[in-house]
Amino acid sequence: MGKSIALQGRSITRGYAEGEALVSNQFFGFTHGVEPTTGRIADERHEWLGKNVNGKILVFPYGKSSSSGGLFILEMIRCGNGPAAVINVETEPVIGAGFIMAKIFYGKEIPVIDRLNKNPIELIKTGDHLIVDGNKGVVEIMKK
Amino acid sequence: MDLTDYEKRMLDGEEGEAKRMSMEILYALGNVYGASRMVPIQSAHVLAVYPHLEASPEIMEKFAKAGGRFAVPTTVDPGHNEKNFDKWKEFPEPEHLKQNSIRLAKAVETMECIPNWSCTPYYQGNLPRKGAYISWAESSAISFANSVLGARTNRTTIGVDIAAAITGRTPYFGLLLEESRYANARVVIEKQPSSMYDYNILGYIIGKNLSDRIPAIEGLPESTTANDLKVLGAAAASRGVVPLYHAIGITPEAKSREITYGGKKPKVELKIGTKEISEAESDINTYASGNLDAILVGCPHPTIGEIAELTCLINGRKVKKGMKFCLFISADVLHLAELMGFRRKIEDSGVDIFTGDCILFCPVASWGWKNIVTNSAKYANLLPSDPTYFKVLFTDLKGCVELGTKKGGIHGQKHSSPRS
Repeated sequence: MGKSIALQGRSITRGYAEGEALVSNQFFGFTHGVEPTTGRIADERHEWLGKNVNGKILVFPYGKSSSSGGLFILEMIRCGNGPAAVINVETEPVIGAGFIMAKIFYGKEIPVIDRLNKNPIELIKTGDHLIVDGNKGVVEIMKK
Repeated sequence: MDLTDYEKRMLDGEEGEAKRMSMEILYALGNVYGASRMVPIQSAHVLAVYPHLEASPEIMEKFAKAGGRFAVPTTVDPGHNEKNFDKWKEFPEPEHLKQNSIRLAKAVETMECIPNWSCTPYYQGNLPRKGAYISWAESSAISFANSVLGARTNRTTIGVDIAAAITGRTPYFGLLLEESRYANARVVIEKQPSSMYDYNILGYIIGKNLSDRIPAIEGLPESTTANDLKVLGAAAASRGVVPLYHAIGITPEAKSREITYGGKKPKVELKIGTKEISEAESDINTYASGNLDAILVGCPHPTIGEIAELTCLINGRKVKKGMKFCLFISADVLHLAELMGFRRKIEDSGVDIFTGDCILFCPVASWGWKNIVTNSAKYANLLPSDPTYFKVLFTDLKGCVELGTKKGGIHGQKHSSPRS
């Protein structure tokens, strides 16, 4: 491990996670974007096609597509295939609501953080090890 | 967030468990997104869909069993359930999916939804005025309510939609605020649209390029109809995140450039001409080769005008052997189609009518389709991905009829060969 960088942002949900980053500068939606029963990314128009969200820390700018994303998030988490955390430039309310409801309906706290003091898409590379603290709104990047 | 006494009582559980759960969701959402307060809503539109996701009936039943009842007029999106569907022989469905669909419909009707089962609730009497606060789900209906009607809703997702309908409240943030509704991107139309196909393509291009923006379209013709805007909005909202757009001189919050952009200069400009349109046409088509399995028409749900056009195009033609031609339609429009004699002509041609339904919620995995044809850019956007994985050929309604049917039957053309 090399040096670490800490970023401060806004917590959409609380919780604490560590894991490997999966980064894209493309918008991402969970409806038709993830197969909830496997965690496999199924969006034919996304560069993440074929990868798996399970245990990953997803870093992408903003949501897209159907407003039913909240349900796909809930089902993915119900099936135990949720990401470890989510980091956005701005968290779209459909995605924010999905993770807020995961705590209420399934007791799962998955931290979601946005509005960081630096652009996470530029700073974080796929494969970086991240520590995401949704209680404090802090993302720590452990550079390889 | 400041809550009224009644809202506090809901949050504290003094108004029952369903209102408490609902207020917990809305309060958490409102706090995160900086809402200063809740506002009363005039109507809701909710989803009772995705029977293949167990969480879907599970959550709906949690609300219903906790005593949830909708506090405001609440319409419901299409659903593939036994109230709407009776073609189990031709379109078989795994039993557990059927059961989940029945559970969803029962729970949402227990909570006293208006059972319109359509993605066009504004055509079924859920018609908010300009400026009204509402809480709607369904990306195409959200776009229509915000853009064409000038009502105000955020993109409300599943769960939050039910919570808002039960409490009659929504947190005051995002698109509910006047200052969040000004356009910040300019779309210049260089080639005027003249058909629903053209409006679909325009929406696709806007959704692809201006997601997360509020576009103002300059140059739409005076002949633009509400229904043209329905498909434009549906295409944009399913290709990207476009819950609100304006069309200067056409939509209610876009009387002038000054008003539309809130006195500011738009930061982004998108020109749409012949080049952009042909790029979009090649981008939207994912079909390469192989048999075409089905024609899918009716997304968003059509008006009686669209059904008249379909009847005209069919004109005695018969659906090709080995092909399914599915029409998705709301019950009220189907009723008009029956009164006007269209229904019989459409059914005689071999078209399968799916009332109050949508292919997105059908158990297509067991139907074995690979390649489909549609006149809906929204279907073209969503069907190539999970759970359908169709390859899509996008065309206009005429193209759908030509690819899906052949001459024959009642007019006795030379090559007539009635469907067997």
